[in-house]
Parts: sequence; C-alpha cells; structure tokens
Amino acid sequence: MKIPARCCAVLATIGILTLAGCGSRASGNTINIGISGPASGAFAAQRSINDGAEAYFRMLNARNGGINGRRIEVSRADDQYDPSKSPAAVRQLVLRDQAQMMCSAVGSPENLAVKPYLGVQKVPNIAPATGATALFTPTSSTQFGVVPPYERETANLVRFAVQKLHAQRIAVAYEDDDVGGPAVDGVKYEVNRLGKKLVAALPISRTSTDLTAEASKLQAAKPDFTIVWAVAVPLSLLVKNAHQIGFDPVIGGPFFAADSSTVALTNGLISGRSYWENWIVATTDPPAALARTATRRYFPSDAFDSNVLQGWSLATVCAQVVKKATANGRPPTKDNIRAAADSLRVDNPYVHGLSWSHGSHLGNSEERVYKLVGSTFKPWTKPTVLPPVPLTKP
Amino acid sequence: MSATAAARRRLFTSRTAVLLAALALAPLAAELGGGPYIGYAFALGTAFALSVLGNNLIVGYLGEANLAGGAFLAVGAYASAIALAHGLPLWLAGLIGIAAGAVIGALLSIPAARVHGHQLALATLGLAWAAPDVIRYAEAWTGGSDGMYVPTSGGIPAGLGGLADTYVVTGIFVVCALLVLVALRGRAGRLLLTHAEAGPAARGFGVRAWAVAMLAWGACGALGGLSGVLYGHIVGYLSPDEFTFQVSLFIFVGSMVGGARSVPGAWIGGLLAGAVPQLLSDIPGGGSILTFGVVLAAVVALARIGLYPSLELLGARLRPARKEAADE
Amino acid sequence: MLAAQVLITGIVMGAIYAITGAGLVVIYRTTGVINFAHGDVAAVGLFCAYGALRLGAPYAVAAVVAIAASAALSALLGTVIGSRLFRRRPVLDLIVLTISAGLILQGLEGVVVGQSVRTFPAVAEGGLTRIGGVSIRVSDVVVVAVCVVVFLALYLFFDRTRTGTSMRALNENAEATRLLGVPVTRLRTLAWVLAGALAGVAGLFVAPIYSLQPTSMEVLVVYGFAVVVAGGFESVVGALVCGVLVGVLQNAVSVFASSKLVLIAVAAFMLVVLAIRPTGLLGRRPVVRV
Repeated sequence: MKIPARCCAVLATIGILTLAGCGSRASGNTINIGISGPASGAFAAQRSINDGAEAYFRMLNARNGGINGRRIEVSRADDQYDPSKSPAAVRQLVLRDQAQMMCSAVGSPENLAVKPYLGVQKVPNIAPATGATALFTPTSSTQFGVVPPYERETANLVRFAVQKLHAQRIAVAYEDDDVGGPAVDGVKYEVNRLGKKLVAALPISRTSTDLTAEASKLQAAKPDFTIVWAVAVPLSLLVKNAHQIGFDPVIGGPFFAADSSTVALTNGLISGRSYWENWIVATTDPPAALARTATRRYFPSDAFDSNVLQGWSLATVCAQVVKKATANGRPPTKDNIRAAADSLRVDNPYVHGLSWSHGSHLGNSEERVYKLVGSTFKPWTKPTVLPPVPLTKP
Repeated sequence: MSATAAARRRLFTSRTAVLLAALALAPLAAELGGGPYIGYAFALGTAFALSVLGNNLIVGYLGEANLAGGAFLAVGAYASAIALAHGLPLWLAGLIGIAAGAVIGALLSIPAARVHGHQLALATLGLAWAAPDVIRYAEAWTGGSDGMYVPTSGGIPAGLGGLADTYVVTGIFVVCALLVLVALRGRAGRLLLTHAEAGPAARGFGVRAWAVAMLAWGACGALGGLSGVLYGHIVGYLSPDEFTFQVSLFIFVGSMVGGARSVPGAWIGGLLAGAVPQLLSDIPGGGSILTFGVVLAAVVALARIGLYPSLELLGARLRPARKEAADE
Repeated sequence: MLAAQVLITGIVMGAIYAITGAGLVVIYRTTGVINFAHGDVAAVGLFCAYGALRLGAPYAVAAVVAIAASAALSALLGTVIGSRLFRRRPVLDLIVLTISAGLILQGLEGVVVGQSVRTFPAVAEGGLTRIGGVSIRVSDVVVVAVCVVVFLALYLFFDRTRTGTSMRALNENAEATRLLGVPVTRLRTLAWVLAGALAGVAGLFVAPIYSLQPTSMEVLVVYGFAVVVAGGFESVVGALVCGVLVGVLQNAVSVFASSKLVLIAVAAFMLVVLAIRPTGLLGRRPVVRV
C-alpha cells in the first residue's frame, strides 16, 4: 500500500509529459513547413519576422490553394532566442509536426545550434533570418542562406559612403559579438581597399546603459561617416547620447535595425542623415503593399515594418524552392526540396540576385542602400553587387 | 539526535532505491508516449536533475541557497567540450568536466565558510551573472558569442541521440542518486546531517565547519559539472546565451520545489527546471512564463516541504483512512 | 576629460542603482525577504504610466501613475507573501515565491501588452550643460537630485519617526515587537508600499535608457542586488555608497576595458567586499552566540 503515492507522482509526471506531446499531425497532400524563432522572452519582438513568413504562406493558401495544389501547413515553435531551446523547438517541428523543411528560422546561435541535427535528419533549412557565415561555410547540404554575409554588407556601406557621400574618415561602432565581428572585418577590408582612413572602431554592448563615453570617443575621431552595426536599442542609445553632447554624425545602419523600433526610439533624430544597408524592399515600395495587406489581415497587432517584410521575403524564397521541388507532381520530400534548392536563382519583387549552386549556398549578392526620411526608409541607390570581401573564418 | 535519526530514516529507505529503478522505465514511456521531442526534454530535465541533486546538498544540509547552479553547469559543459575538442576520449573529457565543477565548488566553499544567508546566496548569483560574460571573454577557448559545437567522440554523436541518449542520461542520474544515498549513509553523510540538524553542537564536537562546507560545495560542483557534461551532449552546441542567470534560478527553484532533501524530489525538480520550460514553449507570447510562474507558486503554496515529500505525506495520510474503510 | 565623463555618468547610474537597492533593503529589513520581483513590479508600474502617456497625460501625471501602481502592486505582493498561508515558511520558500511572482508578472505583461520594444520619455528631454568638456544632461541632474531627496527622506523616516524606528526593529524580532504593541502586519505592508514606490522611481529613470518591454527591468534586480550585497543588507546608507561605486565601476570598465567585463567586474567587486567584510561594507557584524 505504500507504493501508490510514489507511483502517482511518477505516473502523473509521465502523463503530463505524454499529454504535452500528443496531437501529431498527419501529412496528406500538404507541405509541412517549420518556422522557429522567439515568441516570448526578451527578444520576443523579433517574432514579427516569423509572422511575416507565416503571413506569406497563409496568403498563398488563400489565393492559390497553396503551392502546386498542395496546401502549406505552417508549424511554429518558440525558442525564446535561446540556443538551448532551439534543439527542442526544431525537434518538435521535425518529429512531431513532420516539417519537410525549415523556413525563416531566427537567430545566429539558434541556427548554429541545430545545424548538425538538421544535417543528420536531412531537413533543409531554407532562408534562415541570419547572416552568420558559419552556417554556409563550408557549404552544407542542408543550409541555404538569403541574408548576405555581414562582412559584405558593411563593405558595401563603406563603398557607398566613399563614392556617394565623399567620406574620407570612416568610423564603426559594433556590437561585440558574432554579428559585430564580421561587420568590422568588412569595414576594415573596404576602407583599406579604397585607401581611406578608419578613424575609430568601438565595441558597444547591447546591455549598456549609457554610451556617452563611446559617443565622445567617436566625436573626437571626427568621422565623416559612422557605421553603427547594432540592433535598435543600443543603436538608438548611441545616437541619443551623441546628440546630447552636440555630435550628430552621418550614420550607416544594418538592415536588422531598419525597422519601426529604431524610428520610434530615435524619435526623428537621425531622419535625413542615416543610410541603411538593406536587402529587403522598403515598406513604402510598391511590392510591399501586398505584404502589408496580408499582415494586417493575419497579424493585425503587428506593426508593419522591415522585420515583417524580412520574414515575408524569406518566405518567398522558401515558396520558390517548394514550387520547383514539387513541379510535375513530385512529392515534397526533404530530398526533393534539398535538390531543388541546390541550384536555384531567385529574382522576385522582394529578393534580387540570389543564386545558390552546388558549391555555394551563401546569401544575396545584391543590395541597395536606403535613406531614412521622416519615418520611412526610402530606396537611395539601385541594387548593386556587394563587394567580394573574403569571409571571416568561423 | 532523534531529529537526525528521523531525517536519516526518511532518506535511506530501500524503497527510494526501488523507485529510482522504476524511474528507469520513464524515458521509454516518455519516448513512446510523447515522441522523440518529449524524449529530448526529458533527457534535458534529467540532466538538470543532477544539478538539482547537487544543489540539494547545499539547500538541504547547509541551509544555504546556491544560485550559481547555471555557472557549474556551464563549467562542466565547456570543460568537457574543450577537452573533446583537444582530442581527449569521451570518458576523460567527462571526468574533466566533473573535476572542473568540483574545483569551482570547492573554491566557492572558501568564502562560503565565512559568508552566510542572503549575502552568500546573492554572491553565488553574482557568479551566475558573470558566467555568460566569462564565456564570451574566454573567446579563444569557448568560441565566444559564436558558441561551439560539442565535438563528437568515439562514435557517440553529440546532440543527436534519441532514446539511447535519454537512457544513458537517466542511467547516470540513477547511479549518481544511489551514490549520493550511499555517501550520505556513510561518514560524510553523518557529518553533513549532524551539521545540518545541530550545527553549533556539531562544532562543539570538533566537526570542522569549513570541511563540511568544502565537502558539500565540492560535491555540488561535481554533480553540476556532470550535469553540464550531459547537457552538452544532449544539446550538442554551447553558447553563452544558454547560461543566463535564469538557469541558475530555475535550478535553485527545482531543488526547493522538489524537496530539498529528497532524491526523487531532485528528479522532479530537474524536470521542472529543465524539461517543463521546453514543453511550455508551445504556449504563445508570455503564456509560457506565466504558466511556469503559476505552477511554481501553486507548488510552493500547496506543498510546504517540497513536492515529492508532500506527495509521500499525502500517501501516508490516505493510507490509514483506507485501512479503516476496509476494516468496516 | 573622458575620466570625468565616466565619473559623472557613473554617479548618475549609481544613483538609480542606489534607489533600487534602498527598496530591496527596506523589504529585507522589515520582512527578511529578498525580493526577486522588484524589477517586474517596476515594469508593471511603467506600463501603466505608458498607458497614461498614450492617453495624453503629461509626464508628471504618468510618473505619479508609475510610482502609485508599483507601490500598489508591491503591497499586493507583500500581502500575499505575508499572508497566513506563508507565515511559518522558511525564508527560502518566500524567495521562491518572489521568483514565481516575477515570472507571473513578466508573463502577464507579455500577454496583455505584448513583447514589442517601447520608448519611454526621460524626465527631461534634451537640455545640456557643458562644464569643461564634460556634458551633463538636465535629466542627470534630476536623477541625482531625486536620489538625494529620497535618501534624506529615508534617513529622516527611519531615524526620526516612530513608525520608522519600529520598522527597523521588525526583522530582528518580530514577536517581541508584536508584544510591544507594534502593528507588525501594517508596518510590513507599509514597507512593501515604500519599496514599490522606490522601484517605480528607479524604473522611471531606467526606462528611457533601456526602453520598455516586459524583461527590460531585470537590470534593476541585477545591479540592485549587487548594491545591497556589497553595501550590507540592513544599511540604507550602504546602498547609497555602493550604488555609486557600482555605477562608476560599471561605466569605467565598459569604457576603459570592455563591455564584456562589466558583469564580471561587478561580481568580483561583490566578492572582494564580502571577502573583506562578510556582512557588506556597512552591514552590522552578526552577534556571535557563545
């Protein structure tokens, strides 16, 4: 009679675990696409990337009944932007929801954490929302990138500043992490190549409370053009602190900060004097109208910004892969999807000049620079081919 | 002395061992019933249970709060992964992970013999905050923010295992749990228990407080290190973002909730700290955190001595009633 | 010049940490609880203030809303933790309760207001004085001034009023104080209210820097704890001194060394202080029973 209490404890726990795992989805004439990214936690605002991707697939379902007559089943998993949670999130998508491919998975370490697993499961990771080169160098049979390598993006900004703004003295402030490292390498490479001067390279922290000291160091370096390769919060903080000491530099920013948060956080401060490297179309561009309508419809609480549009653009690439893989009635197996992606060129209204071949799954090779005018990012250059900066060794 | 005796009796029932053996069936049930992704969460929770088991030594026997569980986890995980990366065999890398944890634990016991209560708890929390930044700073070894893969060794792929992985982890937990039980039964256990139940008197009899502290913290560090070794093998990828101070809080919470002197309680606590957050990730928005918080508060409110001991107590209360009913 | 700037910015941040630390000390002194939900309480208050601002309220009204809401929520938390259900619980249980309260509040915020990053205005936007190359913002001056006023008020309250002095005695011996006719429960609730208000004030100063989202007030707990551990759990003055020390240290390390080293330096500072004085810089030495 002493056993029951213990058995109850054990059985209850097992029961809870089991119940939580029920509800697997059977796949019939559908394509199961797994989407992972943060939906809670400190970086939950990034979920709008995944929302944008899902909006695109739902729009395809509503308009065309899916792709090649197959409905798209989207499964999402929350990894809280935490690489220890992404293995579980992705296992859930692959094993429980039987995802045949991943699309628009958010985050560099999060994607790196599941790279070996996806490799063994042979599940293609199409168009993750990260420019981490370690995913694609050396070329992996399951990783297919869209976001350009950060080295080449910052180099492009430098080239833009030198050629169009006649900048001589370049400075860079960067988040001291896996994103900032390659960004600085790109700046250094291009500044040297063009024979200009790198006057300051300052690490800034995502968790800094005050960047006045960094701002005054920048001010002392007297740059003509300052690249701030950071997410919205530290970028805005640096801009605000610099303004407070009477220093209003011309700013170059990354695509991942070219969104509504930055506009709100900087409160008009950098309007008219900031340029943004972006592979995504501007929210005001005509093609964005469709994305805006779909997002309003499926995710009415999301602000329509470049995050949403990023997810949407990534999803267009995923959809094109699926379309090619399932042409002529072929089933959307993991193998077919990988084979289709292994040689592909994408030129649609959202993504230009993306090409994957057997030896290279790196991201976009063309980008444009945008200028922040008022509260909108206006296209400022034509799409140009990014400088061929050698990639930072992972 | 009777309190000590009672405490010991409660600890070392052979039924506990039987129960642990029964737990060995749980992975199979989890895997078959819930699928491999439940198995992953289960394995992770069981790995966390080792950290919780170590924490129990501190909470249950020293009466202190250890909020550096995540730091021990990180030390074990990185130490063994770095050893593997240098080509050492798996067993040696595992031992290095355990030893690294033990060393950090033993070092921590030096200030811990002087500082107590809240001061100590929050000083350990300081280690937990610093851990991710230490990892970032030691870039040459740890890969910094880029993270590092746990290298494969001896044909055992890291981060890919299914049922077998889960079984290995559960097996190691059961072995460690038995070792802890046996150790507590011996001289070390007597030392700890007398210290816990009658600290000043024990000191009067010549029990050295620093020795007790070093023993408990060292063991806690070793178990935390082992927990980290297993964690690394389950997840397969280490990066500073995984070892935030919340991990330490969850490990602490796990030992409080499971029952700070109960070995099966440690397992329940580990699942709560390691597996439940993974499983709740299906709930959108802040719902997962909300649910976790509510569950935690409810357990604290309802189970005053920890979940597992409370269930035991409940069972004991129900039994006589049932007997009477049978008599009638 | 840079050093002077680092010092000034450090003092301003330190003032905020000191206010946070003071709130934690007030709770600890009267109830013996370490409050892990301190930052989350502030966050809820700030979201209320944010709502008020959106409705067109002026900053002053929003500030009052933030402080009042934090104080009310803190009182609620204190009432639950002090309720009969948890009366005879060991203090570690109560700490777990505050941890779960923090998670619940974060979760609720996520569900109710969502996770997006919001801007929160500073107490005074713009406005700047330059003294010999060192820039000082109007908001910096306000922060330091408020900090001075808060600590003067706390000093007067705890040292010169009857309520304050009885509160100080609470944690030392609640039963004895109760027998002396001191309304223990009411005083404890008052302490939670006071601490909540202090959290609200600190939050108002932190929110413009970190922006507002459910997790952004965690920083209050991290630095606040460092301050009270180093300063001594019982000492309000310790919180002030260590608040400023931690603020300056944090800034100096991030500017002169690396921002990666900030938390390591803060943790090391804490450990060094404890190694020299186990009860904190201004904490009392415990009475040794012989």
